[in-house]
Amino acid sequence: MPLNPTQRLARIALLAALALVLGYLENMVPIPVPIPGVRLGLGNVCVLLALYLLDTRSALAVMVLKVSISTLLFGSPMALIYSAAGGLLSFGGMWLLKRWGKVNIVAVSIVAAVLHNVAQVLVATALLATPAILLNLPLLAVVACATGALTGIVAAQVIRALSAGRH
Amino acid sequence: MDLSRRHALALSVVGVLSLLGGGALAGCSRAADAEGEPSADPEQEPASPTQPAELKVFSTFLFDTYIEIKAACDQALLDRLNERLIFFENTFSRTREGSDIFTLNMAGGAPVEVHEETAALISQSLVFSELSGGLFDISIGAVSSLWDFKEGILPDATVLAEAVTHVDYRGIEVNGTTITLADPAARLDLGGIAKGYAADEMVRLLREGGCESALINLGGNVYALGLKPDGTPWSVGVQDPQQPRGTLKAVTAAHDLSVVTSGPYERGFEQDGVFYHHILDPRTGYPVQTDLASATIFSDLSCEGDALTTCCFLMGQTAALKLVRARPGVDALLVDLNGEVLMTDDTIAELR
Amino acid sequence: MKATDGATTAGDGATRRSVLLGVGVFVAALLAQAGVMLFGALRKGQTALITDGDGAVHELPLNSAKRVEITTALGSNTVEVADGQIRIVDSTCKNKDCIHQGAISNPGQTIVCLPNRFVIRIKESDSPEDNGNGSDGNDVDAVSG
Repeated sequence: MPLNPTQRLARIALLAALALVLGYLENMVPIPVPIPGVRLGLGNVCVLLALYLLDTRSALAVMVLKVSISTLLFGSPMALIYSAAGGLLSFGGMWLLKRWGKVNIVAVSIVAAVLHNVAQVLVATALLATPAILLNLPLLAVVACATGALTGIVAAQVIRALSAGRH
Repeated sequence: MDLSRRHALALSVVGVLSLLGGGALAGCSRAADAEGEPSADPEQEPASPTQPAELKVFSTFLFDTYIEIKAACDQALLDRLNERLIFFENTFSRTREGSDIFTLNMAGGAPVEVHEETAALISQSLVFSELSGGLFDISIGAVSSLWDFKEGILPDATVLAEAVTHVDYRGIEVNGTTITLADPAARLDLGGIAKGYAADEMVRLLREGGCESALINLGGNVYALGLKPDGTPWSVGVQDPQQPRGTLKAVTAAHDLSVVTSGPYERGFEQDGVFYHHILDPRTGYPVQTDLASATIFSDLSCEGDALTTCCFLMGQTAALKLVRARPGVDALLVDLNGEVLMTDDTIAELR
Repeated sequence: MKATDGATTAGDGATRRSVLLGVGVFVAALLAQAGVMLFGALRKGQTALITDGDGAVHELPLNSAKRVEITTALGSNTVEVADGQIRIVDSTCKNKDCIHQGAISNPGQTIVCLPNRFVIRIKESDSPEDNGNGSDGNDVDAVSG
């Protein structure tokens, strides 16, 4: 059953709000990994949900809202550049893989998490003009595979629960 | 255009607007940062062409400690510094035969002609003795020569009690470069201030030689001259008195600043379950019992830092804070026995 | 609400491809990290300059593990190099301060054994970005005390 425009708008707003809350909670709970730049990326669950349950444009809206509002609320101007780059590249990756349609949501999430780190490291390298920062990428990517898988599984479970409720 | 598309667009516009807002903020703060810089630059401009950007490292063992000087200067200047340090060692040493202090201590109360530098250093010391009501006293030599903190020798109590009666800075008479000890059994020991004096002389020589960037470390008496060659302040750590060497309690960004720290941990020995350390109380002849684990002084002159750390340590926390607060341009960082830190200016150092 | 194909109810092919993709990305990242570590161990190794009690200077690269004993008339110190760090593990000196100080690895850092006049200092390298950017929180130019 297709959503009507108001429903869709409500869902976008709901998912964006949820992404903000998850992102905020994530900031409050430190991850016991001594690597700077490692995050769980729970907020991306919402973007994934929007992509799979709504449509591409709505998902993009959720992502842009998440990045911009969280920067306004919690972040510094510098953090904006990093999270915007991370958000856009990972969104591009998710969109392409989803369109390809031959892998499941967990794989999409893993790729998204890795691309998020790729973008951040590239931005940092460019901004600080220090190529040595690139050396941090592989380790971040290894961790991102784990966090990406986790968020992907969460998203898959949410989708399953929602569709089960429908039947 | 259907409704959903319009709404999605509207939301995106909100997002983009807030992005722009963030961008504008970023621009502001950067502009503000940039405004502060030019005013500082012109002062450093004229000297920079002549100043070698590379730091030369010079190290040696003198004053019974490890000395390391990093300086943006030529080798000839470093050689001069080394000569000067050796001169100080040969002049101020209590144990080196033929030194001013050795001769003075052996003179049995007769007037002794000393080097200009020795007279200047003794006069300086007396100022700090007055300031601290005799807690800092270079006539501690009669007592300190009985102790050996390297070999762990505990002096006999009665001998020590007798020696304490010869500790009195008021018996030191300075007349030009002629020094007289009123008490023939009095002995001078410049160990509590000579390193500071030497550090100040190093700074003076470096400045005279046109060096604008150097870090002088005389066994933990640190002086940061100018800024690092890259234009940032020197970063000087304060040893954590309750942790192994190399563990820091605080870090300060130093620019033309002396940082001196004193504490029992620096030198001492344990005997029969008692720790005997090197900061002696001129009133008792024994290591002082105090509520401090270490005292750090930030000042313009290292000899002041050297003397004041000892004073602070002997006085204890409350009196030390009062003493330091009364001296303009001087700040203290005191660590008490629980590891708590007290600073006369909270911005002087960042705690670790 | 429709669950788009491939989300939760993907066929065997999709699952296999997903696992392949995920594991592939993971293995690629692991390999890259191994390369970084190997490269770092080979290249980024600092050099320690050891001055002994006789004033002789020994150069010791920190990129391979080793144990060296250096003896002079003043005493003997044993240094150990491991994981790009250097420490004094044994000394004939009285207070063993030099052993207690632990390991150093950042340019400019020193370990001093005063009684033996034995000094280890990490050489400042030619590229400034390697200097004083230690991650062990001890990246200062000098220590007072």
